Amino acid sequence: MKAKTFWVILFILTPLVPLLGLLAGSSGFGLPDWHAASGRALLVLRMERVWSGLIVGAALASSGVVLQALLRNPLAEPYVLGVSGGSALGAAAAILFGSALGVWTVPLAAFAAGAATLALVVRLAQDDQGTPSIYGLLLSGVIVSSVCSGLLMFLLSIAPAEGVHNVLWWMLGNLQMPSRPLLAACSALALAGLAGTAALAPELNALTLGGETAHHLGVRTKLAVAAGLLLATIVTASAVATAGLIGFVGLVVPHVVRSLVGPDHRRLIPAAALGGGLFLAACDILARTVLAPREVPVGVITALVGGPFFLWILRQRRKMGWVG
Amino acid sequence: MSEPAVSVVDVTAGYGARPVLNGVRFDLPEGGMAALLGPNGAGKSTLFRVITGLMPHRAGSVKLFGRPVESLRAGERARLVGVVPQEVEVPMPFSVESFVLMGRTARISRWAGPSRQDRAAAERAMALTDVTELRDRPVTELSGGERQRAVVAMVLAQEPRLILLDEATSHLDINHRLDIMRIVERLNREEGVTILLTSHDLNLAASFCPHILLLDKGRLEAAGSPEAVLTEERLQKVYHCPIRVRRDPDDGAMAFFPVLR
Repeated sequence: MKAKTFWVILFILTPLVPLLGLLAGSSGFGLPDWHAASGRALLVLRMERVWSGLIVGAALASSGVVLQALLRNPLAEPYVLGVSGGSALGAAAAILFGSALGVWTVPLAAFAAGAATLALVVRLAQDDQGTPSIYGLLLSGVIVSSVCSGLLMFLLSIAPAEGVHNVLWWMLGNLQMPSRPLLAACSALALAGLAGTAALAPELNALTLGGETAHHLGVRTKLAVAAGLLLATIVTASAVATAGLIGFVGLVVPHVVRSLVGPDHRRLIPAAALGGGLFLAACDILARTVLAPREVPVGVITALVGGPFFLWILRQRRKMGWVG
Repeated sequence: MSEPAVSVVDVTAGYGARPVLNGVRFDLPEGGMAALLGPNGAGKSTLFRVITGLMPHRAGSVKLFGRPVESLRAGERARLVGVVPQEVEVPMPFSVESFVLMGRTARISRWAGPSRQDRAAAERAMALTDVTELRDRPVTELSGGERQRAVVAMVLAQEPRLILLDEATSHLDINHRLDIMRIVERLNREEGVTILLTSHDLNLAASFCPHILLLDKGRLEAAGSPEAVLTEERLQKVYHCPIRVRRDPDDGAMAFFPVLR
């Protein structure tokens, strides 16, 4: 498959997937009755759901792209570095106990905790000269992540019963938002982060050649790395606050898209964001219909369906990708 | 008189308590071509790091074309000085063309992408280094010599007035070393680009560079023409082994041999 073919497929899927998303539901296939109030409500519900799939998928994929470039490591992604885990802990605490900042409580708590986690991970990975080593980052990321998930379990164990249900359902990865203002707040945060990420493309390209070469090319490396980490944290936090923990998208979508359009971030970032969004929205359609009327958590679908599919593509495109 | 391309005055720099450079002072005029020689640990890399603003100096002053290096903004600095390192590790399969275009990072428009000028500079750089034919190949698949030519092309696309080559040919075979040196010499002669290179290859440095800077233990031991600087006594003192200096009977080029027995 050539890069052009891939773009054509993306442009065909861009209207197609959302349309299918409006038609498909756990209550049956077809457009809901527009003349009935319940039909209209259902349609709006499905729209929101398609939208949150697109935005969360785009956010996770672009965050993976940024982290892989900054750390120059194919394993980097928001989960491995603890950003997702930290954001989840912050969001869960906000869902259970907080409401101080209105609709912004959950996304801001997710962002603050995600940023704090990343700062801790980077601090732990620094050597005596202050530069974080890549292996140090991955190792401390995994460790801090598991501490976060331990704390999350602890929160659940002391939380009131109905709160536990909310958090559990959210944690499994769920694109059905409890409220429209919350979806709007998270989307605004994610879109701002995506725009910033796209703007950082030239620096990300240079930084894949290493900090020193990027410096020689005229990049203010410290500033660019800090901006990249901040943007990755913003988009990850908004994705986690929206939909909980959805694995796989942040790691694999960047690899697959890179193997198809190449590693130039000016093309890679929009392609990965669009691809990630469409992928997650499509998975969500399956999640709602495959065992209808029962819903499967979308994170289960991303892993079960996405896994083999992406492995197949990666095997086909190994040479152009970044694995072996 | 125009300002020198590099002006280093009494520079001291180092890591932790140990000074690696100790009162180094030299000028490299614009349009010059010089080799910075010296044994491992003499401070060559540190001096390059100071000149490119990667590392702050503790005392003295470092100027590029008359401007203190610490006062330059990153983008301005990239227009003045480009660096060809020993090896650029490229983890992702960038095409040669997009790799060379990265030389334009400091000039490229953030949203509009490469302009006609950016593309023209990249084309010219690829032509000069003979990598135009490789433009669609992933950098990760190139041979060592091709890859280093692509790195030189990237630095040329940057259009700096001074190019530093840090052991840029040391992992290449003799033929590919000459390739790189000829490209560099041509740039110096035809475009007036100032060149400063480090090398462990005395033969190559003496035959291509009219000016030699010999660094030892963080001090500048000698500076001048190859004949004046690279004498048997001085080389013995700096490299701690006897070295014979001879002339090629055919063209008179200087040749250096370690005395093996």
